[in-house]
Amino acid sequence: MSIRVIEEKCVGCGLCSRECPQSAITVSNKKASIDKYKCVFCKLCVSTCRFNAIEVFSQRQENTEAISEHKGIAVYAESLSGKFNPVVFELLSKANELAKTTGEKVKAIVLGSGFDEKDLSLLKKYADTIYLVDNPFLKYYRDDVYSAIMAYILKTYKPSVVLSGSTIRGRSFMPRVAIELETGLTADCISLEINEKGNLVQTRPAFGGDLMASILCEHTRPQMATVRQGVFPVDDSINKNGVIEKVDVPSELFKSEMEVLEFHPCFCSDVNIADYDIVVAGGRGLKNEKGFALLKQLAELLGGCVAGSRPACDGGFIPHSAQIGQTGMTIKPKLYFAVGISGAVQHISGVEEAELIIAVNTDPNAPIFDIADYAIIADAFEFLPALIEKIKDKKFAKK
Amino acid sequence: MNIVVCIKQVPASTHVKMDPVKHTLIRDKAGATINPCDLHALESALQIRENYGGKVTAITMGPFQAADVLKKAVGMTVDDGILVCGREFAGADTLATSYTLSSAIKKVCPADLIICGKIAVDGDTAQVGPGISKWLGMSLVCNVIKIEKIEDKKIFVKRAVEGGNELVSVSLPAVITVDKSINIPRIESIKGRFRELEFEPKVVNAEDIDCDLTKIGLNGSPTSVAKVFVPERQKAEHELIEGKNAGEKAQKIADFLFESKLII
Repeated sequence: MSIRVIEEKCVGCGLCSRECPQSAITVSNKKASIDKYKCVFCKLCVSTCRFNAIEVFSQRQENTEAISEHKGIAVYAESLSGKFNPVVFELLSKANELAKTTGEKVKAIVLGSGFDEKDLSLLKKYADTIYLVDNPFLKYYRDDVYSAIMAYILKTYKPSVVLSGSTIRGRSFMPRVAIELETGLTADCISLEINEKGNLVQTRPAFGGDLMASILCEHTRPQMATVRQGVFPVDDSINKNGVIEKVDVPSELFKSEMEVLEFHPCFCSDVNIADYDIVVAGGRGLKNEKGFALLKQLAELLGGCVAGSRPACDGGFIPHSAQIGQTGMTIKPKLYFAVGISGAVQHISGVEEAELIIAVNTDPNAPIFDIADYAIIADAFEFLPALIEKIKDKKFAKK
Repeated sequence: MNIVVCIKQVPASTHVKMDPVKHTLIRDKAGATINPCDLHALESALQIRENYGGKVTAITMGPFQAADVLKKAVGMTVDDGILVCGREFAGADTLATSYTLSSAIKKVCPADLIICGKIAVDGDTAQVGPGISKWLGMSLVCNVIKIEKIEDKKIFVKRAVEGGNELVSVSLPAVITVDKSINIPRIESIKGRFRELEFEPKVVNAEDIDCDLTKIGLNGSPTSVAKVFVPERQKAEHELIEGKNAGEKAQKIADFLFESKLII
């Protein structure tokens, strides 16, 4: 693919130059020129140009035969000690929706050890076929072994789409799989759909989340994407009766350069903020440990959990596992209580689907108020102690 | 012990805003900087050099201006910097970028250990580090939170995994990607600042690194951007809670929480 300015059509108006997020376009002598080094081919200029003077053209030959032999929407069903990660069912629900459009089958890929009928029965509801590799060597996660086996399965069964949770594990071994298959992988998609050509349109935040980019992987297969937990809803109405196919993996793929020596469970990360109906979150405005201690008191009174924006997590006040936003979790609680969070776009994208949002901030123009149902302009250090006291009073009076 | 650190120049502010009236993009002209995670990768490499000896080389792919991040690395006392630069690399996605960097490392600075930051703040993909490990056929450990030791051609590290952390060992050569929590990057010394000013990185292009031209830049990138758009956000009509002081406002919210049965 390449991009060029059609000089006969260009009038040098400079609209494209102002629009280009990469500052890649300059206008001289009434003609635009594009710095191909800076250009990221976002095509914003193409849609902006009123004279159709910029075109993007492809130099790639389509290998339609290789593409058409890939069929099926596959999901990596990540598991830890036989339990499937909640994101798996969200992805399988989405896979079923996509499969309806393309008329393909839904496949789940399970790698691990010691699964029993009960563990797998839930997956059967969501997938037509479950490719299972059950081997004691897979008890521990090793990047080299997991990626080699996943690549082997994808080469053997040739699905057209592969989805994985954007989990620590998915993010670390899926890139290796994509490279072995020399295909595209789009991280952290927030929307997936099939276009008229049958390609997967993978939309993800770009330019720090202020813009969205729709990404295609037209010429290679499979089309691979990772998705964070909480982005897609689980569809309980799906009721398939999938079959389990045990995959015979060549024994040399179980060779690893990695030894897992110790495992230390971390109890703090056991709190999955996506599981809570009420989430109380703090940001930069809470300043210090005292602020976050107040937040914790409020969360306890409300029966919710504590979360934070990126500055709060980077500041070490809240664990990164409880970070909300584009680089953290996407949550949909019944009540989201945001204190001292200004509401950067990245943060808002992680929480805008909460049923009810109450926001406290000193700045009346804070963007968080744009998505809030109730806005309180106040200093957190005055408001929080007052609120905690009032709630305690009322709870106490009731009893 | 040859340690290579892959670093990236990123915009100092990744924000782009839309002018509500003119509908044009407003760029934040804050300039460019080194990707924050990469500072931790550099620090990890320097600490390994202090304990085990060896040479640390920083490498980046980008336009000529990207030499600035290599200078910064040299200021932190990295031994050498390599800039992979050329128009033929433009428009690369993570597949093409990881191929290019791995070709350059193989040809110019063969490594026993490659250290990358966990994620870059602009692309937000975290895919290039793992990608390099595959192209070079090396072991991989992601999200490293502590380097324990290097012994018998093996590196022992702690990594964050779902539900906790693990102590693992992998054979060298290996690629590790490090989490920000691993260390506190050193501040450049005055001496370092002088080194930085004098330093000129080695610049290599596609020919110098013997790479397959069909696998780099736009041609080597399976993914393409179909369109970029401004996400639509519905502005909620919010109710402003009024009151003489914080106490009055708190009372109203407390009442509301009980009425709507959010507190039982």
